[in-house]
Amino acid sequence: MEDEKIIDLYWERDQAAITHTEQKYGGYCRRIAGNILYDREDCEECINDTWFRAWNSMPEERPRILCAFLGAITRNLSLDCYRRKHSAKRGRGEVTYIFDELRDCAGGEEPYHHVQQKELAEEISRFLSGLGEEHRVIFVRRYWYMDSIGDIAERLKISESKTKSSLFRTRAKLRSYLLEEGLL
Amino acid sequence: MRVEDLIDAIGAIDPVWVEEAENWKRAETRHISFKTMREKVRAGRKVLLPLAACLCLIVAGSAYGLFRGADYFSKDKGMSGGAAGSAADAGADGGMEESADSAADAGLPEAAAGGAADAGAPVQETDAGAEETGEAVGTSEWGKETIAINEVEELCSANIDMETPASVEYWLPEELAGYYGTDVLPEELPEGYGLVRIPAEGYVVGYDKDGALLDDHILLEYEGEDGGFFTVSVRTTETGAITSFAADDLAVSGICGNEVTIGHYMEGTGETLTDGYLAVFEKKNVIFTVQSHGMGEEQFLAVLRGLQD
Repeated sequence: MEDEKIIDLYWERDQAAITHTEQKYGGYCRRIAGNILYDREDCEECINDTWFRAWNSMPEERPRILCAFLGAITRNLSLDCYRRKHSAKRGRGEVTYIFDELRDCAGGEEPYHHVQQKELAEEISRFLSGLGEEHRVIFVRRYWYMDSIGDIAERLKISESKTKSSLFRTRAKLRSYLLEEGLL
Repeated sequence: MRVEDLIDAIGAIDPVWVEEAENWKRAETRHISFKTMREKVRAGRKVLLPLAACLCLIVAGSAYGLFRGADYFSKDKGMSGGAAGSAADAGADGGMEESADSAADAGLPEAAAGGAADAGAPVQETDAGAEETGEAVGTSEWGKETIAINEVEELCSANIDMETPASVEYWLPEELAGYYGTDVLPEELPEGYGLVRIPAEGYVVGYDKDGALLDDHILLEYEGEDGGFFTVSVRTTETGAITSFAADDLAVSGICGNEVTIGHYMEGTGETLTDGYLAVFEKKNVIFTVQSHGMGEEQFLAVLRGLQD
């Protein structure tokens, strides 16, 4: 079913919306949760919560791109779950590495307020618009989807070292960009 | 800002990029057209290379013949002899074809080798080599310089991977000479040109966990008020995006005592949007690749001179 029709079902408060969402985007959201959580039970819990939150978010919101909307909910829920479980110790999977990789770009320990986070997200989007397509895809696959280096290399049909090199350069550029914009 | 904040902010980026990353596929058509182009060039070379080799033989043979012929006429006939003598005789006696045949028949490897060597020979022999390959479109003199601009139809681009550096150093433009051990910034710039997009922290040099150098390939970008621009890529490591000439038999210029290979290419060569110049040379074990767009030949040569010691 087309995304527009699925969204219409949400707006009509028709529970078939969830069935169709599960059919179309169940695998997609499970992959995102799996990259972060590495635990089947936790993943399933996050997926169910995703459908529940999507149901509650509409009709107030009408997502522009349904897959990204659902993916973002799954990602946030999975990260929350990850933080709850791994607050005292290092976890498994890619997230640990991703936290380490991004530490230089973050540059401090002062928490950001909600408004600052929104501004930061907008600046990162602007930064991404200035990147070459391939570098942007690699960056988003790594830090949004939290894919492993191997998975990104396979998906883009490039070597792992090229993937790492692209990420390294993009992180250095992002850091410079955030410094220039006064966000670091 | 904490890492968590950054990760959360990345989670809130424009959904367009999220969708793009999910659906992105490498452009197949671009790959096919590139492959086709390469095949065309290769196919062309299959015919052209033997022809060029024959031409080299003919020119070298006849030149040798004429030289020996002149020598022959200025001295006693009996002084020339053997294989060289027959080539000389043929060259002096008549047609080029005959002289080539004679040279080939007589088995003159030195004549052929000489012709082939000329094509890639340094300064003094450049002009002859350039004419033989048919790739140099012009030569000019500038003091003690010999300038040969090769007209090239193909450029090579390679992106050489490296492992992720364990540590990096940042070098500001004015510090780069200290790092490379030689000046990497042009001494003088064409009017209206300036260095742009200087990284805030400086140019990056990467090292592995043992402190060994991994990557010091940097790109200095210059832009002019007239809309032209040029880049100076400097490296001692074979890493990153490297542009080079596809042909390996180009004429070599001599600038300030250094050998420089210069090429001019037309718009659309590789993926270029304008015509431009490419120059490659080595100075104190540092490899320089200079590429221009929208610049005149004299401006480009001035940049190359400014990069020599």
